[in-house]
Amino acid sequence: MFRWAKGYAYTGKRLFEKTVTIQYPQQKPKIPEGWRGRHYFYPDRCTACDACARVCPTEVITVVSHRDPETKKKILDDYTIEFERCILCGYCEEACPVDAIKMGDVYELASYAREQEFMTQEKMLPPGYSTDVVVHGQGEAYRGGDYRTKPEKKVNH
Amino acid sequence: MLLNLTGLLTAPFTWLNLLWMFVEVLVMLVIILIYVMAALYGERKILGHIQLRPGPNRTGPGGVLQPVADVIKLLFKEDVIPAEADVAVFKIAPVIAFVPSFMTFAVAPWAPNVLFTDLNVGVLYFTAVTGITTIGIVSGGWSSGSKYPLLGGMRGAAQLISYELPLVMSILGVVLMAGTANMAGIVEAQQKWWFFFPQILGFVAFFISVSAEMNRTPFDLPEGESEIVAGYHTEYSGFRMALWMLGEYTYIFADGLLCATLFFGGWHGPWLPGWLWLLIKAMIFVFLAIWTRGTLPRMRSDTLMVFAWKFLLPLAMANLIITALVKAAIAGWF
Repeated sequence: MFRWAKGYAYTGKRLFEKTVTIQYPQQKPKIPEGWRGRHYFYPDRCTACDACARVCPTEVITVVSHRDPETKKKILDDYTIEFERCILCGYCEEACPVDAIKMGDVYELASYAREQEFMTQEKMLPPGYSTDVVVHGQGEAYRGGDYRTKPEKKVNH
Repeated sequence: MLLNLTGLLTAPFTWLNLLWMFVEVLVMLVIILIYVMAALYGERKILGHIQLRPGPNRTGPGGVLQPVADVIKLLFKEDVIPAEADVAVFKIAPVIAFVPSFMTFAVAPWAPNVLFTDLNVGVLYFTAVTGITTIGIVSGGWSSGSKYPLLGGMRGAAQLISYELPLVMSILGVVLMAGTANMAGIVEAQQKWWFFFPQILGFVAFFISVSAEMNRTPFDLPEGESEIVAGYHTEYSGFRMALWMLGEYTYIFADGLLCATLFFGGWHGPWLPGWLWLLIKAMIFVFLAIWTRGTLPRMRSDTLMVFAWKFLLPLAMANLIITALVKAAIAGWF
């Protein structure tokens, strides 16, 4: 019979509690660890093994590399993600043996044009990194490909 | 407010007196409009904080200009009249619903001798006038020529008529104790103590049925957003919609005044002037109504009827009978 009193007590108590709302554009939410936001790419760590590109379900990652003729090691020339089709699954991060690609804490993903969603190494630099580490190699594949200007061409149907 | 308001009605007719009457009514209307703005803002703020949100906080400091923005938006909106509507009734219905709510202020006793009409059947006048709103709601629902407003209007009629009975019955207990149906007389009878204490049963019946009369949350079936769009005012837009809302919020104020007058000693109170005490008590009632909206879910239609006829009405009648017996047993109790 007095259940309503319980309800009034509950709402009355809430009236004096602190609100949980974040004033979003001015106040940013605290991003928890393990958040799958836009990627950070560490060019200095990447060994150009192509594992991320192969595991990617939407095939949006392009790794461009060439082999050093003396040591026979792969050298990274360029690394891009067509972010407009990325589904933020995090497989690339899991596949990477050297932690060169990481899911970041960037969550404001909207942009005004498709071209802006094309992620270059500069756009994916982790905080604190200078653009000095970005590699724009001169390998065969890099010179021959036009993937940076026409990302749509890579779509496989 | 501090003019001798009653004198004007009994004084011989002159054009100057008529002008003064208009001025007084205008002042009252402005006060009510300001109150409605404050109530809109207060309701959204209080509901927000109950739900752990800050409520409106973008328009002006702390969002105080939000009701102004809302009203301006409503005034600039197109006044849509549905093709199927009965135009004349459709146009007049919100007026029929609002005007009685404003008329109730005629008998509100603000302080000794500060009231518009010192009617010796003030309480009866109040309940009779509020009954007219039912006609406005039903005709608004019917004239829209649409199924949801019709449902809302019918629900409104059923609910308002059902709850009118326990409301009047619970008021009768107070009238019996005071020995008068004059609003000012009832306040004067509470010189020693408030009628809230001896009339606690009556107050319970009164508060519940008055909440039902206001069409607010536990009893907002005529509007029922989640069931019938917006009930009887679904088809209304622009200024007519504003008029419906105005009527609804004015009723909370009016019923707050009635509640304070009948059960909480009206203008009686220490230190502050009488009209301020009445206003404070009425505002506490408004706050309670908002708190209720933040707490209770909507009732089911059949339980609503059962509650009115099988619980509230017997409760109010029992209260009336007990009051009468006690009054007869202890003559000169007051």
